[in-house]
Amino acid sequence: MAIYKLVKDPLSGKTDGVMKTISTTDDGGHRYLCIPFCPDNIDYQEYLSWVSDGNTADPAD
Amino acid sequence: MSTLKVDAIRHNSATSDAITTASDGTCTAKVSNTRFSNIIVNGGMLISQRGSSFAVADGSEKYTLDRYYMDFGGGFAGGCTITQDSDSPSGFANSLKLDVTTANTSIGASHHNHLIYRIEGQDLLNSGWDHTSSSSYITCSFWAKSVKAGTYYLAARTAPGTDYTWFKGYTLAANTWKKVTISIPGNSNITINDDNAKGMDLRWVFGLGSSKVGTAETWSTNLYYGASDQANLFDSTSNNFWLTGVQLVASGYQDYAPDFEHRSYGEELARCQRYYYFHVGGPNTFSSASTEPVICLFHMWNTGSAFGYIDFPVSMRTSPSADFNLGTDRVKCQSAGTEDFCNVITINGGQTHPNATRPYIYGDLNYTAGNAGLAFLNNNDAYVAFTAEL
Repeated sequence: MAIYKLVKDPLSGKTDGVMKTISTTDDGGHRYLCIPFCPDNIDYQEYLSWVSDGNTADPAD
Repeated sequence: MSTLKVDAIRHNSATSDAITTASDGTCTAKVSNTRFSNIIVNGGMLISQRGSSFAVADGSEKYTLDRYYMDFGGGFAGGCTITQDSDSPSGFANSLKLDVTTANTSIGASHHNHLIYRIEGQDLLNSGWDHTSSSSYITCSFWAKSVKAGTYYLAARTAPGTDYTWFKGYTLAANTWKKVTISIPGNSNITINDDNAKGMDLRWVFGLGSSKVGTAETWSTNLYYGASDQANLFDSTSNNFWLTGVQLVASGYQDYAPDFEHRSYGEELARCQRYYYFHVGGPNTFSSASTEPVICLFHMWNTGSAFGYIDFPVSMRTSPSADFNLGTDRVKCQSAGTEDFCNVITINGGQTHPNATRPYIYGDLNYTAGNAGLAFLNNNDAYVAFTAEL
């Protein structure tokens, strides 16, 4: 499982963001970022850098 | 009635004129209590939305108090804890405290350690500073105190195009607050754009390897951050460093810092929310959090999923990332007289804007399509926040 997973718009079905898992805890806690495909967003810039390093995000549900 | 005719007024011990007069009947004065617009947000360290204590080491670099990012560059060993502290100079109530928790007595050649403040390009270009002119200055002033006496450096690094760095040293006596004033000149080679991306950052340096040191007060592409006399704050776990009263203004003069522009908590919080907005959290999170806070109103799109709406209190720098700490049954929903629990909220990118967003709530919901409802947090550690940092 990759740290990134693509996110689709539930209505249009278009992939327009990515979810990044930051951490999980034993009691079911889950910290994650929902990152828009926005060029000015530094989390998106970090995701693009991760992809350019040869990684691939998990597909959206 | 008489007229005093002079070209300038200067204090006996000063090295420059306080007032210069001109032949057209005007004058230029360095008035220390005149209000200038401080570019720095949270310079008085009032705001810490992300928490009260931040453990940082190589691989876990992070934003700490609002707008201040702790960096362990190049694999710098050691560790520290950053907190909001009440130790502060007269006129201030808060400071950022760096407490060394794991020492690093042997810094690797390419390693560097600093606290970073990132500035939007448009804020620099509209400050009055001509960043392309070597005779134009933007002045950073701050209060600092360290357990370890010695020389420390403040560095600036531009971002667009080719990165340039510039730095200047200051000395601290042990355990003594000192106001430091450093004027940064422009340079015809540096580029800063009139946009919402990073134009330049400021770096308070705490340790440097031998390949990261160079000549002070020179813009360079070598990405040096200080000179060889930079103190290693991380050489002992007994060392602490405090910082507050950070100000950056284009006052028009070299080495001239006007009095700090104190702002109210509310005004400073609103400025911080351009970059990070803590929406709601359980009691174990940000100090303003409460038990079962409301996340948002929603309407059921179908029986198993709902759309909500969250309006941000100020326009954020760009479309933010949503920062969720949720999990099993950590979201409670109320609709049509019943309660239900769900696990997941996502926000897709197309519905995220600098002013508002549309959360998608699903997972174990079972309500009638079209019903309205309220979503709450249902866990002491859960929170919903939004980040548009630089």
